[in-house]
Amino acid sequence: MSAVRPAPARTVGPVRGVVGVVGLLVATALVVLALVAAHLFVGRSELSAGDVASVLVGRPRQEAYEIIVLRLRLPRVLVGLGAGALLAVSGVLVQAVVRNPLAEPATTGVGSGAAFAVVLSLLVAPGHDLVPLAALVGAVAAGAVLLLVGRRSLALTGILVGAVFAALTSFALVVDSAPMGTVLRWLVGSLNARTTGDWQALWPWLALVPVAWLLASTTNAWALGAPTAVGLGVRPRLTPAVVLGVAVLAAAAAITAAGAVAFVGLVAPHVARLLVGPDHRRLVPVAAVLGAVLLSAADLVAFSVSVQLPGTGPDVSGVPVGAVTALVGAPLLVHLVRKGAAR
Amino acid sequence: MPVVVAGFLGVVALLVAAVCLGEPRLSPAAALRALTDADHPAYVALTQARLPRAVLGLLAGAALGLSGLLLQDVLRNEVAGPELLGVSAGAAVVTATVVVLGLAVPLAALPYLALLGALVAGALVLAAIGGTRDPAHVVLVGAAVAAACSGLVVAVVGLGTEGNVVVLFRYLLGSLGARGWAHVEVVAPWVLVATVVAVVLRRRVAALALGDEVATGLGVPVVRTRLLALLVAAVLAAAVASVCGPIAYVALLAPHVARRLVGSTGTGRVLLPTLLVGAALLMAADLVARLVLYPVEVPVGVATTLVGVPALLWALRR
Amino acid sequence: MSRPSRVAAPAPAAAPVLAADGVTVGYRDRTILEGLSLPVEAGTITALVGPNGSGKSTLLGALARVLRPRRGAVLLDGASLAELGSRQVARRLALLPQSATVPAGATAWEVVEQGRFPQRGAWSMLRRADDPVVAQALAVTGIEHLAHRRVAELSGGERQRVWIAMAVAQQTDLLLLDEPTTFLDVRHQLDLMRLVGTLRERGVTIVMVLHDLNQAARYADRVVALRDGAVVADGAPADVVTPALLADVFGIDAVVTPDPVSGRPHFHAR
Repeated sequence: MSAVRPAPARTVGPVRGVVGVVGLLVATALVVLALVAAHLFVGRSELSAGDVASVLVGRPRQEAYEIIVLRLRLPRVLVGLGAGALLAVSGVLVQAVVRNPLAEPATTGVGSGAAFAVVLSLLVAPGHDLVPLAALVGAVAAGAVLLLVGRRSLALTGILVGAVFAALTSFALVVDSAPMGTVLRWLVGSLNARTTGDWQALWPWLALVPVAWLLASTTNAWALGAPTAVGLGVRPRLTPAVVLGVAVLAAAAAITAAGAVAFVGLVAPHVARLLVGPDHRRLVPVAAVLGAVLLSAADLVAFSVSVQLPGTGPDVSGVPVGAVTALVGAPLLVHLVRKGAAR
Repeated sequence: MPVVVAGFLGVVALLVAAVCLGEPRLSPAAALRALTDADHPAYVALTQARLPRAVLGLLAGAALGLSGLLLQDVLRNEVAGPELLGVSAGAAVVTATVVVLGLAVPLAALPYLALLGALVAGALVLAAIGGTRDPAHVVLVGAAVAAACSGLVVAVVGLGTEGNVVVLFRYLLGSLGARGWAHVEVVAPWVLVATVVAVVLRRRVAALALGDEVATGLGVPVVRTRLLALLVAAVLAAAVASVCGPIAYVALLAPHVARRLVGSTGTGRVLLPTLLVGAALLMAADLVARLVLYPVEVPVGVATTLVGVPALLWALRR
Repeated sequence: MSRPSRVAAPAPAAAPVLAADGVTVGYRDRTILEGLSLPVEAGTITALVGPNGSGKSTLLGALARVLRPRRGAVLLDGASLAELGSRQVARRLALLPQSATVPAGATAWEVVEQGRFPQRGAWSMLRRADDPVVAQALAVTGIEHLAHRRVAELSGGERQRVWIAMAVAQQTDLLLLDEPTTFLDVRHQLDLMRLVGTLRERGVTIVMVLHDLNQAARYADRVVALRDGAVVADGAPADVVTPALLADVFGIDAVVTPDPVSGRPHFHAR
């Protein structure tokens, strides 16, 4: 029997081997740094590069500069990066469970569940800021409903569960339309006026990224179809529940911080798959950094437009990042369509 | 045939109920008097609000049911429906843009524009589905396109007025509220023409439901029939969406209910029952939407979704 | 779940390595197998045959714990599969199902690598130590040259061998195959059956569902014929593949002659 050398290139994507993946991650990390810098240096307030740099080296020229850079600009970019990474990882996991590259976090209905809970919290306890908590609870509840009901087709059930929550949201708004503006921003997704508190609530959830990576072997096996996966020792009930559970938590955390931003969870895993192939050991980390880059870059666009547009600003009323991702997502979708047709 | 008779009677009963119920509440006899007597205090409410609304519900429901039936049989997919194929959402984007931005487009021209949006979105989804019959794949593509569309609608609504609830509901959920004869006149010709075409096409569509090879073997022009049937389905959904917004789950559900009632899956046999079931579903949902929280009106799309989704899950269970 | 406490059926010479013990299996309200028992001896090739709907694939599914018996148990070395850990079973028993999903863009190497999952487990990554096993599985199945090709682009025969290589990489002493030759041309069917013979010589116990009765007679040590969810004949090919059984089980009128090459029974329909 001839000995086969395990060839170094095991992927068929343009990025090959461990060196390639690490190189890709390093390159993306540089892009992330560039994005952070852009977010810190661009804004409505006329701060010179020197002013910003003075804050960064710890000797701010004015106290106000420190507030602008560290309390206004920095949380926004950090939340964008974190939420983008979580959305992308959630997308990877949902796609793995459903075994369909067109699934996304919204497929599970978590966004609609979160929106409904937010409306309820605003109606029941308008004075208290329960929005983040409500969003988290609503998203997790929608995920739980899906796990309980969705035996046969998770994708179909998830979309239908999402439709029910959306209808309930509307029903609640008919009764009282006061939370309308908040809910609208929620449904689109926005990073405007994020605070240090938002970032502090978000970052512990980033632990879900390594958890998703540790699940890579299981998700790889699951991707082969249920009978094959069972033959390999994957538990057919527990595994999709665990993977979907991690996906729901990641999406819930991201949605809590940034709202139900569309397309990041669909596009980032897709681009990652084009670059490094379907193996989740590579897919999870690459998709995470791509998601971070995508959401943060889209937010930079939204932010810049807000600064330019009269009557809007980088505050709550500014252009929501979800509007940018929806507009950019549509052509990307066309691209996916063409690829799908070519296959 | 008993199904057709029962369905017809049901639709008539709903029509009577829609005219009689509400504030003021009238007995059928009193309603008849009010309808024929121009001096009756309820004359205007009945002739200009309740009756056109009921007729619109009837037409729109029948149109949606037919649209769903054609899509499901032509695509051989049990979850095909304008709401899951992005067709309704595409129509809603165009309509919302026109209305919210106050573009000078006459009401009668709106269906044409809505149709354009519906066709673009629908074509995108169909191209992405390709040959697959996997329901999950179809649903996911449709959901992605619908998400893009509703993102655009929300953006447009946000641009326009200060979160105008009525506008949002009208174009994200669908509603039959505040509609008059003008709206009926917009929808009616489209629905009538499309129904006639569907009746003519029914045998070919039934052949397509058996598979392309079989249909070709039976001498049916596969591509032409499919395109025509899809066009008719899109026209029906777009016409409804241009006037009522994207009312979900009537089109998806009506054919399933009709097939179960008739005990057949043949396009020809199910066609008439589907029209009746669709009409009855939407009229009943609108009655509930109008009365349940009176005087507050629930968008009928909420009612159809809350009823339609569990019913659909039940219909699709194996 | 009541655990069957009855003693194993009248035992053959050696204790069976895998055994269905009075299993009742069905889907929803339909019962396919009722109280069926089938012991499998180590180091043998067993072929399950029978007409469509006879329950042979259901039986294989139960043996591979893809289907859970309502009553009775499948015993692996005397221990019930239901009570063994999922990966514990997968280290002993590999399954080649009829249909499997190919992840878009996955290479043959990546798919075969999945066979190492039972050894590595849910939370750990594959290691370099697994590479030789994967390479050997590719070599045994004769697809080393396809290692870094996309599985979706391979022919039906090549793809089938990728799945078999995955099962081989699992390094189990039991291999269950569900209609492994269905999509293969004559040449690849022959290759596959020879591969099965090679594995048996290495001590692997094989149970497979086969449609082709002549194939079963030629390559199996034991042929088990099922009809309506019950075993109607069980024994050496020469004892099972007879005109009487063909008439009884498949309803065909046939003559059986010795195969000129192997001497095994070979049937010809009249």
